[in-house]
Amino acid sequence: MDTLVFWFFAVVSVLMAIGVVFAPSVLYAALCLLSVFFCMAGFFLLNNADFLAVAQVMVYAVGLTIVLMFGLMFTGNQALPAQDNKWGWLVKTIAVFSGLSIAGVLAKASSSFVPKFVTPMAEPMKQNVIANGTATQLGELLLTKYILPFELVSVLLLIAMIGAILLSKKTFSDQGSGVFFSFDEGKLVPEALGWKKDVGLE
Amino acid sequence: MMMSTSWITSIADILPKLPQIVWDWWLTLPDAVPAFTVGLIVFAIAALMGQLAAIVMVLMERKVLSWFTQRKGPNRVGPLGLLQTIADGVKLLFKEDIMNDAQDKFLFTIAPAIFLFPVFVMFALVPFSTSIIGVSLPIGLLALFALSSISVIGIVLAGWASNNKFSLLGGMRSAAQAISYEIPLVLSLLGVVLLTGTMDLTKIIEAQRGGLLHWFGIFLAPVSFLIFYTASLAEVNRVPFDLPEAESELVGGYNTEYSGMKFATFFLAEYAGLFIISAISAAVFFGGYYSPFGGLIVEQTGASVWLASTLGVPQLKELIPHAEMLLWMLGKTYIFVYMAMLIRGTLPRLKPDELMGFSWKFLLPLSLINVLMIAFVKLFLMDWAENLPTSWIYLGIALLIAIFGVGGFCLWTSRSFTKQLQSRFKQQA
Repeated sequence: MDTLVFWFFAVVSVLMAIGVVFAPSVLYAALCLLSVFFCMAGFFLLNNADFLAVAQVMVYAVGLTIVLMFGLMFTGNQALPAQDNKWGWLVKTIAVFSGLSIAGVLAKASSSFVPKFVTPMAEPMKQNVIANGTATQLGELLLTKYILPFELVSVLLLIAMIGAILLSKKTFSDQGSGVFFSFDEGKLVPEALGWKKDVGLE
Repeated sequence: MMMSTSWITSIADILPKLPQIVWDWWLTLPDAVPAFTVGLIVFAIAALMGQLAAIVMVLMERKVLSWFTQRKGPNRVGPLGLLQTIADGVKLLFKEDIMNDAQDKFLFTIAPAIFLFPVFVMFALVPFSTSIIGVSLPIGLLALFALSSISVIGIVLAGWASNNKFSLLGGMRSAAQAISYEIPLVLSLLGVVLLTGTMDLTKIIEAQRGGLLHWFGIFLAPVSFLIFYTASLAEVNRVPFDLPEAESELVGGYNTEYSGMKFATFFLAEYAGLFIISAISAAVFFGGYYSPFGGLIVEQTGASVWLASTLGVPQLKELIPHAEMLLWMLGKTYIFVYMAMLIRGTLPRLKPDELMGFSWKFLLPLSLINVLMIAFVKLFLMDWAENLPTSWIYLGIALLIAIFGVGGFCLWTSRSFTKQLQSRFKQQA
């Protein structure tokens, strides 16, 4: 049964991943991407990683909503325009070759191990996971063994968040372009902030 | 003649054994088949419960709102108008399903389903007694919110596929709103998860077995509860947060173009969602299926044992406590449903900027401070308070003071800071 479910998820996820590329509109592409993520959650569940599966659904369901919104805002109600320019053949050739090389690397890497669709787990451990879930162990590991990467990632996210807030913040005065800062010859100049030079924030 | 009698007798022979035969055949099946079937049955029951709850609540809403505005409300169909919702459902079922050429047929059709199915799956995760629960997951609370975030996609899709600017605006508003309010929602529950150390709903309820004083919503985490209830009202698009379907500005919002059963699906899912958030409020913050006096009344007074022995039905001893649990849980849930209806009858709708500002500038800082304070209390005060007779009350009061003290201070400083900035820029201009 596990194998059956695995194959279901595997086939659906591959089909949907192809769909992301060939979808007629951005909206369908986003939906295909969502299905791929849900299939990934299914793989996590098959490996008894319940917390990861739920987190996957939670993060990507919300993330996909944002992707949908951006897709709608940027493209509206139209199909994607066909790419047809002078250097198209070059881009296509490069894309095909890089794709083939990635596939080759993956094939080489995966040929070295015996494919196991569902990693077998020791029976007592499996029972424990089914009864108590993986959230506790995951939390303990994250806050003991992997505390440094965990904190680094959170700092990275904090930087991204502050950056996003800065980018989207409007200036208080009506001078400037409405963007909080802009680059002038590679330097961040206070004038671009819409502020006078002599008045700063102490 | 002989043939037919032997045929009948053989059937009569087999018939009493039939359950045994079916059971034996059931046991020979590979493990996965019964598991899958049970899953299907659980889902079917959950969906049925969801629909029943929605049907009851639609009528309840109309009645409650009519009392508010001094009307009689629906009172024609059936006794006291009780069958009104069923009549409405039949009417919607027979209405024409209108679609126009400019709509995306596939997405237009699938959007109500995407909106509805997570709500029904959520019903399987809510415990109504220690044994009336579809699946008891160790991460039940998180799973509930993962599912609730899926239904937003349904609204966005419905808005886009309708090919109508009002629908699209409604869908976009809904997405923005759901993303903004999801954060305080989850953070408010994090406090309770910190206190209990588990995300399993049954275990969270078990931690509140002690009665009124042990309920998280009363003394220990009332701020969490207020944040949770507010944010979840926004999550299910209830007044005063019903901007996605603000009829005075957006016609009908994301469901403007929908008619017939597809519209009914949206309607149903919204009410089922309201039921779910009320049930979670009851379970996480107000003791779930336990009585306010600690434990269960029938067990405390020995009523279930007495009844079972007087009536001579030993099974009653097991059944009656579950009946009481179901009663408490449903009662508490409907209190919160009623509260949402009171709020609908009382408060006007917010403006979009007020809505966003309320979430990001007020609820988010408050919920962060709340989590911080609960962590502090858990780390430093829990052991000290264990020795006091009514420890939960002291802890709760300490928490309240801390949250409002620190929270008020932070909000005050940030506001005065903003005002300073604003006045400075005004002077410049």
